[in-house]
Amino acid sequence: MSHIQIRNLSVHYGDRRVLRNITLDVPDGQLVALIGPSGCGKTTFLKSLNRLLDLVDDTHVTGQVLIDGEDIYGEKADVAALRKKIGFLSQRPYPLPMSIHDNIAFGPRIHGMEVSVEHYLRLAGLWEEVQDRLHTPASRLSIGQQQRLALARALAVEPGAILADEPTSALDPHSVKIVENQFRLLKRDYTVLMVTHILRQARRLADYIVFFYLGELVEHGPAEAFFTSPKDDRTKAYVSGEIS
Amino acid sequence: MRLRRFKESLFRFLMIASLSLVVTAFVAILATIVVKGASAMNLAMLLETPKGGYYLGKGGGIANAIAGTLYLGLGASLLSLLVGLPAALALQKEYARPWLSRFSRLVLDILWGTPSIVYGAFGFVVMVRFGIRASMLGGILALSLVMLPIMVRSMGEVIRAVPQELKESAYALGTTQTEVTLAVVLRQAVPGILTAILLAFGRGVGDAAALLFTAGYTDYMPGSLLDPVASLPLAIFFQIATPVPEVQARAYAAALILLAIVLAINLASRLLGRRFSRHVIQ
Repeated sequence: MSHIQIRNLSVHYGDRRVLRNITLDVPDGQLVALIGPSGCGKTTFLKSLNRLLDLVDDTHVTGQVLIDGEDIYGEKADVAALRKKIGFLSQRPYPLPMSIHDNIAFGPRIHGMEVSVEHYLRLAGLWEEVQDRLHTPASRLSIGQQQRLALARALAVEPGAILADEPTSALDPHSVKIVENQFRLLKRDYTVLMVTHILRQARRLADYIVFFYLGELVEHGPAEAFFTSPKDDRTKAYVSGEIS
Repeated sequence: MRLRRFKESLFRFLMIASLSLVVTAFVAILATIVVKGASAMNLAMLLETPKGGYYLGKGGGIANAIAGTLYLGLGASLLSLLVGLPAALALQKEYARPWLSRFSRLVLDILWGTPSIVYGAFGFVVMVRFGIRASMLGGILALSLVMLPIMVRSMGEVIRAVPQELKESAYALGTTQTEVTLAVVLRQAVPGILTAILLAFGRGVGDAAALLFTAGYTDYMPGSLLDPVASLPLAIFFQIATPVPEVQARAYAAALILLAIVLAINLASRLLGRRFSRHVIQ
């Protein structure tokens, strides 16, 4: 399990500041929901934790993100090794252009690890559905299955934490239920950070809530306390549905 | 309301008229080639080399030009692919800065639009400088200059079209740029890369001007890389310029063969493309 600490993190896209001075200790082994209205910086925050922001042009990051005590924006940081430690699930699943089996085996093979494809497909709750067609193209899976494949693929490189960017927003209700159930199981062994703009989903799943508003971290705390007695006025307005 | 409806039908009429014009022109070209070339088309055309008096209407065929065109086309395609694919990959934003890739694309567009006689003349100057005579090698080099910008530019577009999110998913596993490029980008782009090769091949095998000074022409089957080689475009050019009607008909037959080659390569690459696209992510 990875230890994630954020210190004074700010992110600019060009001249526009999208994250302002974020400081947060992510609680280990919990499912942490990042909530807030669209455009409040949730996804940017998530992508700053595994340096996927590097791929966006004209981004400027200041502050520190410490993973297991090491600053990932430090000069000596090994980005590939960092990303192996922190799994990532995008909003819309993108299987790699290869077979179901190879989608899982690709990551471990690159890192020179042994892999049991079956194990990770089971962890993601997909094994029963694909066990007799492992060598067919992953592109033929339904979008709900593709998202679970993406989850299995991320788990296969044995990360300590999982980042998930609205992982159910592109899925049908049935797949949403399956994926949510997998997340409930995963939080026993992983720290999970999940961006969601669905409050009910955060209530259903999260142990800990982090609330962003217009690029600021407004409030964070254990889920129950957060929902029953929010402190900040903006949080109250958001939780009660006055702003969304 | 009536005016808007009139505009609607006028616009529709113009679109259909333009489309019909394009189709008619294509059918007319094809019909001309078939009608004028049919009388000269026979097995000897395909299998024999020109015999004595061929250019006066006596026996033989253009097997030398068919073989020459295949050698030149495949050789130049292979050469441009070897240089062009890495170049196209280098245009990705992970490797080239935005200004460099914009500048490269501009240069490639200019090269794409450059008349092939210019490449032929350039090739000729270089060959004279190094004392090389007209040969298959010279032809392959000149043709690959014609093909290269087409390949790099079209492959570059295909590679740029690979979804950023797909690359992100691969990077998120802790992969390097090279691993993502080889295992993900290339696989995703294979069908488009095949199309780019085909586009370049089609342009290359039909080109006469680049070959005129560089490949030369011969009535013999292609020999070594350093000997002159015949080609279909030049066969058409030489035969159509004769005053003998039978030989002119042979020019059209040669054009028909050239069309058939391009069509065959087109179909083959489509089949290959379908085979390779089973893994492509939509």
